Amino acid sequence: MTTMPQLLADAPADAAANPSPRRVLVIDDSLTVRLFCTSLLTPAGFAVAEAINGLEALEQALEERFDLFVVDINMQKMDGYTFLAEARRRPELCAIPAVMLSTEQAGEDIARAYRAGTNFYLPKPIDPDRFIATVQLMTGVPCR
Amino acid sequence: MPLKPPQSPSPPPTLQVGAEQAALAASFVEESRALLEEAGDALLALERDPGDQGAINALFRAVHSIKGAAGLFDLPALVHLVHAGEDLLGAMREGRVRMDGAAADELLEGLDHVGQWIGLFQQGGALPPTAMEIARRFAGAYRLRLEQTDGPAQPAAAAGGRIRHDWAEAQVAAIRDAGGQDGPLVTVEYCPDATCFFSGEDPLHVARTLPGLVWFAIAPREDWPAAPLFDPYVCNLRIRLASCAPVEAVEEHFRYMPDAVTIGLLDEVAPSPAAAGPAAAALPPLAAELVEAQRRALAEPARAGQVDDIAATLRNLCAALGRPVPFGDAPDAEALAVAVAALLAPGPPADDAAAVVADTPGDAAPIAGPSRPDTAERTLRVEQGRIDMLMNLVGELVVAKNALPFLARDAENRFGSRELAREIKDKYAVIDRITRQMQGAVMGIRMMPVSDLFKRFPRLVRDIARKQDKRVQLVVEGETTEADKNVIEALAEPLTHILRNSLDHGIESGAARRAAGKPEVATVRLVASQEGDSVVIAVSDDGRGVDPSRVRAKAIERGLIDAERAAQLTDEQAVQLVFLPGFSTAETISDLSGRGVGMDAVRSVVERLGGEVTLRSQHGEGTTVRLRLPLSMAVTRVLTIDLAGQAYGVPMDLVVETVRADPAAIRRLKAAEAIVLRDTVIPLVRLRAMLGMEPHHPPLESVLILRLGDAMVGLVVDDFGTSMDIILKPFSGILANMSGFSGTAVLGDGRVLLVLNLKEML
Amino acid sequence: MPMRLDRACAVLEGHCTVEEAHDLAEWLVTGRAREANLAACAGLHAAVLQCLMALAPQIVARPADPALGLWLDAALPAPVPLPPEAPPQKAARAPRRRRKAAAAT
Repeated sequence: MTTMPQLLADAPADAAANPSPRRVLVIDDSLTVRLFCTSLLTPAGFAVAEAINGLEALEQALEERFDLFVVDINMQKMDGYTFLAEARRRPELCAIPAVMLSTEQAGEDIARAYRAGTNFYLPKPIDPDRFIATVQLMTGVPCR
Repeated sequence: MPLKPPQSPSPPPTLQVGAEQAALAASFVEESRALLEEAGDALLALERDPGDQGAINALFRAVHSIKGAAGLFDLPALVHLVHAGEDLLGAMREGRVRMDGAAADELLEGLDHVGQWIGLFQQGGALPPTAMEIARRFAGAYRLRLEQTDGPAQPAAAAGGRIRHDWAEAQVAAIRDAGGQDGPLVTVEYCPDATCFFSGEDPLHVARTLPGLVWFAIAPREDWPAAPLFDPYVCNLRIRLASCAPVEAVEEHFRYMPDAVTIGLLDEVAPSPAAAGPAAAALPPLAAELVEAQRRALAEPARAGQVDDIAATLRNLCAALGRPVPFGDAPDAEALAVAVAALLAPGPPADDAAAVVADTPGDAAPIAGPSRPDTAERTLRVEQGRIDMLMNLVGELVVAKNALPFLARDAENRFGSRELAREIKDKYAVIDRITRQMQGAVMGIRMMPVSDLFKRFPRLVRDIARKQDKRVQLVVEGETTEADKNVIEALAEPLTHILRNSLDHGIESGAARRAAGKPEVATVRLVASQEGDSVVIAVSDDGRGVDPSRVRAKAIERGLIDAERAAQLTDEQAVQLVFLPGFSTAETISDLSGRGVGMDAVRSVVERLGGEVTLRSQHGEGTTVRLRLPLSMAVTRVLTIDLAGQAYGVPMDLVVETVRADPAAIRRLKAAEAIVLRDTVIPLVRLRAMLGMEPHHPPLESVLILRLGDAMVGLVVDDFGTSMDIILKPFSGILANMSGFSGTAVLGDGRVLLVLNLKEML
Repeated sequence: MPMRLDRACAVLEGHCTVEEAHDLAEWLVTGRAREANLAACAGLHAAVLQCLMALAPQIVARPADPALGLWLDAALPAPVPLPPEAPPQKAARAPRRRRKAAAAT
């Protein structure tokens, strides 16, 4: 799926300075949320891929290399908890940091997210600055 | 579109913020619409079967997704409403609250508002000032439902027996800062009862006097109403507190209001000599939160065996901050715990670290993501206008192609080259084949399943039935039948009308149905199927049917037919009188379908689309209305006929066969003429006579045998032409109401063809 | 007399009780003035605080009592004009900004 911001952001960049942009997999069943994340991360220099549920994400993650998972909780076929638990069980994926995004506010949901294997939890609605800064910190993009 | 543009990193890529936001908003509108539809369907399914777990899950997910996406925009009322709806649905999903008709009503009505607001949002407008009022009203109703069945929702208890307050987890640094210590803290969420002021409770006093109070926050529980509606004596406060006192002391403090508070615990900071003092200050707040999160992840027993992700997160974080990584290559949980403690210890000067949040986006060397191969894209969304243009061009091509046979004839007749004529015909055959395939392909794009049309009807039927206190089950079949988009769209109105009629006049009240020995729940069937080049949609009910004698009486009373003629009609013919303009059988005009529009409106819409409508009814047993429409409206195949040197077109789908008849074979019965064809007597109509032309008597009569409804008619013309595909252009302007013709088409040789509307003429 | 309603300003003094909430609300709703002076206020009933939160008059003077001042800061979204000698502790953490931006289309 090619989104508009992505097309717009395909402008030539200083490839030599940063030969491999950090790759982020955004996993959310809402097209709008995916578009939102992509439109924030792409201009910030990240390469973003999208998946609409945990199952698709798992397939994609096993094929390509990612530096971070951005995971929604409620999704069809495979929810975010299950996806994380699956990812943590696999040697190829277990070391990839993950941040969960969700509208769930209950302490129990957050506790469950950490049990399943997330490394951070951001409540929706997402604050753009905070989101970008989180992704940068979690992927080791130098902030100086 | 009120959305905050992301902080643009420098150097800014060529990002058009306006376009990006518009795309985001458009996506939101489209997605929400689809979700609302899903939610509506699920809600109806759920109402039929409250135990349908699939439906409740789908409903919950749809509402949840709307909320998630809406949160990206400045739509507080919308979010407020769907949030409350989600809470209620969550309770239903867990079986704590049951779905019933009234709840479904409330939810549907709320979703309707959401739909309206999304429409307003799409038009670039703000929500009306009343939106928040409406949202609050619905949210109140949903909450009431929750509380009635449930009592105030209790947050789930965490493993330790004590709940954890999510806000406390989220603001742990601030709370710890204020507390100035690492010991366990008690957190309290205090939502005083709305009527608490009347019982002498002063929540502010209660909060301020909490023993060991170290941190507090106070906010309205729900958004404040507009100033004139504000009631100072309805308590709408939510107070959050943190205390370093023992939990027993806190409980004691709130002993008179146990229902208004939840009391939780904030864990002790891991004992570490370095962690003493205002630890989190050393890292920028977000980074500190992230490190805290890793500490929390490390504390999960389930994750003890696998900490690579935690190590990677911490390593990345250090890299991002330009700090040395405080652990080795393959750290274990213990090593990481030490590293976390070290990171939270006071480190480099605060202003160095504070730069992270302020400057983060700015200093990250931005680089455009490499274009990825598109993996998921299998569908293409295209504006309808483009398809229409393609369709028109194909239509023009069809017409242009039709010029070739004329050219071939000229080549032979005028230039005497039979060979050239044959070549042209050969080429014509090729072009004709390709054109047809192209036409089929474009039509295929325009085809859509009738389910797109049908999906609105369950809600319609339900609403009308509830309003009239009738119990009706709508059975839908053949939803996958496809037809041209224009046909589908044009059918919405007539079908709505037919269904309303059926529920209004056809379906009896529950009592009447019981008395008639029918099941109390009436059944309305909506069935689509494809028959040849037509799509047939039948709406049938098991109601009281149409009473032919009443129809006759009404038709006479309204002067639509005289008594003698009415008496001659069979019952089956009599019920067709409902299609006459100005006919209505309802004794009282109902607010639902009686607005002076009757079945004649249905008929005229359907016939304008080149379709036909028939009604069958068994008095006392039910009624079936059948609509038959062409699958596609764009290209019409006609048979050309000749009449006094002028070409006319007859829609091919009406033509059964063409016959050359000896005038002697035509039987005269009084003033009427007929012809016998394979033992069937077929009445004849002379087109010249109908159009007021001079009679014409060739040696052999050219008769077109046409099928009109169930009847066969022979149309006498001067001569037959050929069949061809035309783009039918309806008359416009002063000719729009010209009867007898459905439109014109330009032929390949430039002549204009008048297409006869035989259904109207005969 | 815990509350005086001047033409332009509501002056809250001493301990404002639940009874004051009604008059204050009515007075603020009719919009005769949009200011409140809490300099001499020593205590607020929650109902009075609610009026200040919901109807948002401009606070022209903070309570002299610093503890009460902190509660007011926590409750009222717009920052109260601060006397320089009493910066509230809570300012250490910047409140997260809500997203509201100029219309794009």
